[in-house]
Amino acid sequence: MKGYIGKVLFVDLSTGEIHSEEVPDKIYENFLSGVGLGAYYLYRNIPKGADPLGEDNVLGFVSGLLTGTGSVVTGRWLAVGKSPITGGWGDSNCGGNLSPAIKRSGYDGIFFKGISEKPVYLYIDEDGPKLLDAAESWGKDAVEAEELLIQLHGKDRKCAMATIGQAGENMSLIAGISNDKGRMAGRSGLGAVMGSKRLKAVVLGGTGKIEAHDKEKMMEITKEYSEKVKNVKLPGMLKGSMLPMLSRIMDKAGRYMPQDGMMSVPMMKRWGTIFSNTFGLPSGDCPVKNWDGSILDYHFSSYNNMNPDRIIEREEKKYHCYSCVIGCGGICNISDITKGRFEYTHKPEYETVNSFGALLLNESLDSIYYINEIMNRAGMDTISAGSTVAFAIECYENGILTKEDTDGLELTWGNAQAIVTLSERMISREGIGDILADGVKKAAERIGKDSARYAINAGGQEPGMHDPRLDPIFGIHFSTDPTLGRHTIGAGLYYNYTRLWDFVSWAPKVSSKSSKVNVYKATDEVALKSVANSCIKQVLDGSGGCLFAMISGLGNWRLFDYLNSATGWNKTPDEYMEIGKRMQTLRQMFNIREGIDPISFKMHDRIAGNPPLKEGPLKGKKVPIEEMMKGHWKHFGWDENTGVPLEETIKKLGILSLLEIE
Amino acid sequence: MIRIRIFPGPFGKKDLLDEDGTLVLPDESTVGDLLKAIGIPKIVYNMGFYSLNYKKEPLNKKLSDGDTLSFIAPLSGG
Repeated sequence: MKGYIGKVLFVDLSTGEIHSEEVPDKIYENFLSGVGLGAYYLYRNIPKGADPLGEDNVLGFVSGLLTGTGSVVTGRWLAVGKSPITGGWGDSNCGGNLSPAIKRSGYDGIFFKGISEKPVYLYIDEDGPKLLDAAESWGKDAVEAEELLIQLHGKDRKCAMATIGQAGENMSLIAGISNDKGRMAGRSGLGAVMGSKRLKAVVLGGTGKIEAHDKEKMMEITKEYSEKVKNVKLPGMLKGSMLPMLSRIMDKAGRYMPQDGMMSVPMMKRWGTIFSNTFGLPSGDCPVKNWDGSILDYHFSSYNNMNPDRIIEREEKKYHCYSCVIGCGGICNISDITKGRFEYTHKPEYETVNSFGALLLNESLDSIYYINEIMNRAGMDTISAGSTVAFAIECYENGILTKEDTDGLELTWGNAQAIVTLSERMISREGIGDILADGVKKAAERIGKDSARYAINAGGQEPGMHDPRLDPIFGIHFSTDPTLGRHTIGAGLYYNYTRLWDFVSWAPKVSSKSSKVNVYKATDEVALKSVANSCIKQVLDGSGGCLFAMISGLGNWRLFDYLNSATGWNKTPDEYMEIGKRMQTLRQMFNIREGIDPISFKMHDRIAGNPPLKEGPLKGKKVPIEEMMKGHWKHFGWDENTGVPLEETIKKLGILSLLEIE
Repeated sequence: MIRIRIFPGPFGKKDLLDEDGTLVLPDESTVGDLLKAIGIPKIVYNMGFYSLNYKKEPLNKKLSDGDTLSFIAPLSGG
């Protein structure tokens, strides 16, 4: 009874062989579960130089150590594998109901290697795992496939499942993996890996128990946190249209001061992530016009179309992921917009709204609802897809692409109809869509003509919709995390909300006097904050926890106490951070083994302010990204010039002996 | 005397707080006394942008040692 199951499942799709393996306790004690368990197995099982879309790549579905233990907001699962978009470590994180289903089926992780001759899916119930023919579901979108598989298996039991849509089947390198009918583990292109294996779905109907060491303590922490979440509320008179004003007030007062993360929760309760649609524009957090514009290009009259109040007018139902007490999800009725083609869509996330809104100067919210649904069904990552459309528009506007190249599409800024049509063509890989369906880096290679200057990416991955020129620590994580371009690893602002310094001896303290700190300098303090962000995010992703719970403050959502109570361990926060460092270092070692030069992962010059913007809230801002990357590596115990983990660090963390490859 | 932890968000005179973000007030002080002491504009607290120990409380609510008063903190960058 330690929170985890203690077993993983291996499926060889080439041979059809299925076997399970006991996982020694020491692996959990050193890597936790989730992404750490994934890194442990993938490093051992993927041979160097494996083709990401070939037989040797391993695709894993891992649950979290805390999932199902009586903890709350711990229902995240991850897909892990070698990424076809970066050629290095890939992982992608999602909520919904899949994470507990993995554990109830008897495993902490399910790993696939090989390639099936014909489309198949894995089904698990009390009788154990089996591979079944997916001929009927292959060719269907992710939602249709899920509905079909529910009809087949879900009549007398509740099944959770992961599926791919057309983007995964077509091996688009920006394809994700769907669960709960369109929630997306979108990053790293792992939907393409699933498609390459001809694995249509993983259907989990197990009913096993998940136990915790100290149930009473788990309940106590849960009760305390849930009460706070329930009680904390927004004033009724605060409207979505007032958020830009609030943003301006906050920026005037200084962003870098301690915040009470719990006070971010009511925004999530009322709106979900879409409050950022309008809140993030005046500060410059939201990128505009392929990261080359500002609110001077996309005025209030434009971005207020994305006012979160307008979106929740369509929200017919709110929903929570498994074990979540915040509940930021929703189902919107879009029947009128799509002329009955689709009745509902998941409430679009902020990332989707900005990728297909401000980034393209698109003012049509209706087009975004439609794109949200077709992308969810196809299983295509909206951050990458929107970024690729932005790239194509900028190429068109600058004469690199012509009307002939686009099969007649007028790819101009803000042309909603052209944006919709191009999105459809990317999904079907039709015409110009085929050139763009693998993200900006591949598209720039195919188009040539110096188009790479408009291909905003880090190591091939399109970054999340948060501007490092506002919060440079975003840029450090975009450029140094083994899964690049990831906005959920950390930021200066996230750091202030989690209040890590209250728990971790080496985490720099932020005080009310900190608003004057120069965040645009590559100082030791900035580096230590980014290292702390990386380590705690690994602990979070090993636990199945949600970023938004962590941001509500670790004094409120007591992650360290949860872990000790679930497992019976008695580790200190510093010891958990050491585990996080081990997980992160192993992921970096994976990339180094694949021959990746970490310097090559530096984010695109444009988003480092090179050249700087000439107007708007981020006018003149520059991020010394190379110096910041070096500071981050140095404080991780990696070579500060190359980003390669130092031998002494690997030894201190005991990685090679744990991997049994010494 | 009572010690109150304060997260003023973008509002008020942060210089009055110590390194840990706390302020010492006389016993029997109320929420309203605290808001005035740190210079929170009336319009802000009248709009209800604050919570005491994560609950909505009136201005005449008496404070206790160790209470936390927080202002709304939207997370740009989330």
